[in-house]
Amino acid sequence: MYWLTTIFGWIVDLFEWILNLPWLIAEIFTERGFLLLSFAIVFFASYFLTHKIVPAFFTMVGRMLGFQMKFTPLTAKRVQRFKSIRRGYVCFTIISSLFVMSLGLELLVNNKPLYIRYTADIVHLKDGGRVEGRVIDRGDRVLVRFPSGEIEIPRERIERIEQKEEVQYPAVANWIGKWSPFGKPVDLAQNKRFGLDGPGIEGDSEVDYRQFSRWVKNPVEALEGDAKQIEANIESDKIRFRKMLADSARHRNLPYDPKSPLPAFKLEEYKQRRNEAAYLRSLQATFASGDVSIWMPLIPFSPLEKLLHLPGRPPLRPSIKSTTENGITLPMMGTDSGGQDVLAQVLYGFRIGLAFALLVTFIGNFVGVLVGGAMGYYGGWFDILLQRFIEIWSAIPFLFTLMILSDFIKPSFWTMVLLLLFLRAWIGLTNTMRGEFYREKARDYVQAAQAIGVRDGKVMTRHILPNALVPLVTYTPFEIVAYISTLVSLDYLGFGLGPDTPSWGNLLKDGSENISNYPHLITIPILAFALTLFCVVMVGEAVREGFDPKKYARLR
Amino acid sequence: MSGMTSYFIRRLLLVPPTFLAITLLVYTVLRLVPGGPVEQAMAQMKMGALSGEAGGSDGGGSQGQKDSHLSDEGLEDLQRYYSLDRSILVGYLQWLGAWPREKEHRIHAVPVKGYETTTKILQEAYLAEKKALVDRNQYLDKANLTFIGGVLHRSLTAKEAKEAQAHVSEVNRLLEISFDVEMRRVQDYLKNLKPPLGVTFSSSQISQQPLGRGSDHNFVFWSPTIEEKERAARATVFAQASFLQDAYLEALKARKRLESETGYELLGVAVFLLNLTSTEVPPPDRLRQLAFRPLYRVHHLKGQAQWRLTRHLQKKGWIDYGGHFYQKVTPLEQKSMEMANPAFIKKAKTLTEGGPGKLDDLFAHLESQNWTVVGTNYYSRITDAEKQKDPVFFQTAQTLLEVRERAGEKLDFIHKNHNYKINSKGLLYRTESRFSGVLQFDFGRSYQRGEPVLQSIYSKFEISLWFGLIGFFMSWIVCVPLGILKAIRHRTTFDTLSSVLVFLGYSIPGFILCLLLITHVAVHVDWIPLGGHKPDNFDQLTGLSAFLGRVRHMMIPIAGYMVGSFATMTILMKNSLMENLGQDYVRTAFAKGLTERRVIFVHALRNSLIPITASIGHALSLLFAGSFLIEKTCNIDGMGLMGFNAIKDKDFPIIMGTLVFGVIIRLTGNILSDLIWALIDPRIRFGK
Repeated sequence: MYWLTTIFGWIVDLFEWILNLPWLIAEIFTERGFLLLSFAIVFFASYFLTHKIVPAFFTMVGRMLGFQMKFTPLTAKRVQRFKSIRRGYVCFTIISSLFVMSLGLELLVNNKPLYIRYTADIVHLKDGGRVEGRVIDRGDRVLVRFPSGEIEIPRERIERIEQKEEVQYPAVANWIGKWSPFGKPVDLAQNKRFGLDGPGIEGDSEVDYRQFSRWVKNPVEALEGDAKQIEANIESDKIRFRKMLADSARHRNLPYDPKSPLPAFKLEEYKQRRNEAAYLRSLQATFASGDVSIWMPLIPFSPLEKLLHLPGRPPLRPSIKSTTENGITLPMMGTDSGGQDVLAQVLYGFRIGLAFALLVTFIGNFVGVLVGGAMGYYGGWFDILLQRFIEIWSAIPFLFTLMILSDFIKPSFWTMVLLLLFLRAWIGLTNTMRGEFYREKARDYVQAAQAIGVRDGKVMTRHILPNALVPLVTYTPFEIVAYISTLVSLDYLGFGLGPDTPSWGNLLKDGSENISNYPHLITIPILAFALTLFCVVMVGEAVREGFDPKKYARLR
Repeated sequence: MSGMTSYFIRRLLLVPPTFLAITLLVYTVLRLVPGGPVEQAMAQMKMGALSGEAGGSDGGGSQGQKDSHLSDEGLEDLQRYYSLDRSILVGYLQWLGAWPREKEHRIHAVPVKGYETTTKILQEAYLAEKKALVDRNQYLDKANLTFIGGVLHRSLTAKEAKEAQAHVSEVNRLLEISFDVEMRRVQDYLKNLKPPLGVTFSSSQISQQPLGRGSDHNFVFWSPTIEEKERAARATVFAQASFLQDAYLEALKARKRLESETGYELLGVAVFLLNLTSTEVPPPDRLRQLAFRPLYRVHHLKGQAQWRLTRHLQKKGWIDYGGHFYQKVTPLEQKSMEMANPAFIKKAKTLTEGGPGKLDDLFAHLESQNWTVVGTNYYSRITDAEKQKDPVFFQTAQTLLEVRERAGEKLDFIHKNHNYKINSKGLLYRTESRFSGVLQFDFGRSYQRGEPVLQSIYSKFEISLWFGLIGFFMSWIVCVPLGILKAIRHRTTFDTLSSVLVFLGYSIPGFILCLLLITHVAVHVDWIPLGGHKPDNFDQLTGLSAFLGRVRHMMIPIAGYMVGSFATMTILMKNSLMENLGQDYVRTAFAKGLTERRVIFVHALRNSLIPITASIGHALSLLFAGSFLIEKTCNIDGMGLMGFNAIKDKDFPIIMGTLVFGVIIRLTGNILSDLIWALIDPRIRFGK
């Protein structure tokens, strides 16, 4: 009976959920529609870049340099066969476009603006000094407000009042700095204060640009609201502090007069905060006049930034609502227990995981082809010794040893790549390539090439290699799958790239410590992980089918 | 078949070098990793020192000192146990059992012939002697008298004491190691003084007070000259004293006689019989016999000196550390230091808050101002001025300290030359060099668990094996039929749909599936547990409920194990069957007019099961490798979780043990796999 009721309860829940689904989708689209649409547009742009523009460009350059830039008939047939398997090819376009898109993540997911323009008032004094802030005209005196206070300057001391416009591109600078080998572009983002002293991002000396964008969107209400919030905070702090004083007095059996003045340092603090509120109000005019503009990236959070300004204690659950009532942007997929945005971490984790797997696979395959080719081609003692060595090497318990080494080295991204190459990746293809080269070497065309005196290196690269590439191509996607999972597993166990690198494994680790209350910490990274790997596996299956088809004859 | 045999022989020959290479690699890495057992032990002991003495009780100086300033002896033992004092290669060979390792063996009290009775007799004599001595001393003590060299002495008069005081420091200097020898020297010194002082010297024997009694006098001087007048006045006292002295000498003589009769000697408090004349001592090791006596003597001396020193220093609240004396820093002194050198105190405080990891820095930092820390109290070194204030006290303490240290050196000397050692509890050990390592099945002891590694591995392996085997068979049960079905219905909707499932299975590692199931199923369904390998009350369950309890705990991990091999196995099965269905013999079978069912299930299936069956050996190693993640996720207390925790805790012996196990399983798995393949498939020829 108990079972029946339980199962019935589930069915009812499921029904309810299905019935609510249209509303849910509608709500998601009204709240997050812009975000989703923008991402779709960016994705298609990236698709065109990856699959139309870049190939066209390379073909053009190649033709200009005098290459044919065409597949050989056999390869063309294979590629055609690969493309004819729709699911594999679609997965390939999706995953490659997504990866290219992820290379520009700094422009899409960042807490810095793509573009910011701000006009500051600079008062030049006659004696050569200058004051920067908001200028308020008071007849014969000029009031200059800045976050930490205000000063009044007699008009006769002022030489002129200049309005200086600053334009910067911090996110672009961040992106270029990430990829440029020539250092960071300084003049795109000079880390100015933009008329603000704070409140900055936690642990960061930078301005909180999200606040800026909020003010730009709705200058009067947002700034007034913030100013009022500061004042309300002062009042609540007063009450709290008085209560504390009363408590401590009672603790010492002393009388406490609630009307007695507060201590000087508190009054000073309140004065400071009121100043801030007044400053925010004085900003209203500037923001309303359109002198300030800002474009935030689509997701205004960085993956490692701790979002402690959000209401509630982390981890936050995913929210369909895009902003709070005050207009503060809410993270779509919630935050982890450190207060870091889950979506940003998932996206950056995608880039790091895939880049890691690609690097390990390609370098490993390169070494594998080199070593395996030499082994197969030359044979002899070299072959036998290396074969034995590989046999020994491949008996190492891989994950266990990797954990020990990782615990010792505390690897960064590149050392991790090296570690994996050293332990496993180079072996992957060596044996197969050895076999291929060994077989091809006995073929007539190789002997013919050797007979007319072609050098060994050339025989190997120009003659044998193109004929031995099939296993290389068909293995690659599955190797990528294996190395993505390896990195996730290591991060999950705590022996990976460490907490300073956004990764799926770290999220899973965090989630596995908060299982019952915050399932999103597990579900979201697993979804990303499974979908990515599923796509790669599909590609792999299609590649295998395309390059190395198995034709089964079946009798009935 | 000879090609085959040589192939397997080659495979087997390759096992030892593989094993050696892997273990050497990991051993080297482990040795280079910071935070090994010794460092952990230090951290633990320091932690104990920091937290245990939080009350900062007075007079517990030496106790706290033992905690916070590690005994070097213990650390050396630890280092030797883990071969950390040797080079990496030697350490590795010791671990392997190919290099002798020094091991300590406890030497138990020797049960010689007639041990019980002899001990009893001797103990009785010893107690009688002791009682006579105590009686005598108590009496003499009251009367301010003592016997020195059989001659009655009296305590000094005030005037005489004052004169003698001048020579105290010289006496202290002469008193160095053994009281027996040096006291004679002191007495000679006093006798040869010019002008003669007319005084001799002895330590008080009563109740083992530190050299002397009273507050200021640390040595008691006695005058041998007892004047006639006094002799007359205290005649009865003297008579009683002589009587007691005689009784004592009688008891002493009786004991000595008994000892020479039985041939055994009772050594101090430790009930330990020695027979220096007879050859009956069970281990006929002459060297050992010779080593014991000095060993006990010196040990006793060291202990006594330590005890006396502690008692002595307690009077002023001093402690000793590293050959120096320290006294507690008063709040006032601390305040003044804070004024004079605020940075010093501030840094000390931050280092103290830094926990055990910072203790080395803390000691080094405090040392710069001649300070040290015990528990929560700071101690400062005794300055020269303070030493001068009470030279006698200081001299005595210094003497005792030197006595203790000399005794310690002597013990080390004996240990070095005779391989005998005595620990702080008075137990005897013999250090021996012998081969003891993996080759002798000695994997050492786990550092964290304290039990032998083999025992740990055995108990954990059982759990892992259950999960691995059941997972393996379950995946057979699912994958083989599915593969067959997919092959038969190649390119149908069923094939396509199940292919999606297979690809999904390939892209989801086992532990991720477990995590997913735990988060979305186990959390909401009461009867599926979140982790663990058996119910908490498993021991009370019987029959069906125990079985069901097991099953409930196994569901999620088994799903994880299954998904790991699900995709590869299904596809392998499918492809292998498909291949066979295209073969000529199948064509022949069809041509014979057999039913399709018979052709597939009798002819083709038997051949296509070969590659899957051969993968059993590989599965054995997969079983071990894949279990880390699943056991961690599902909190199963098996090999994987043990290995994971060992790496986290840097538990060398367990890591190495797990590794050895893993490598062996892997290698045997591979060979087994080839062997099975060769056995069931006559077409297979290994080795060209």
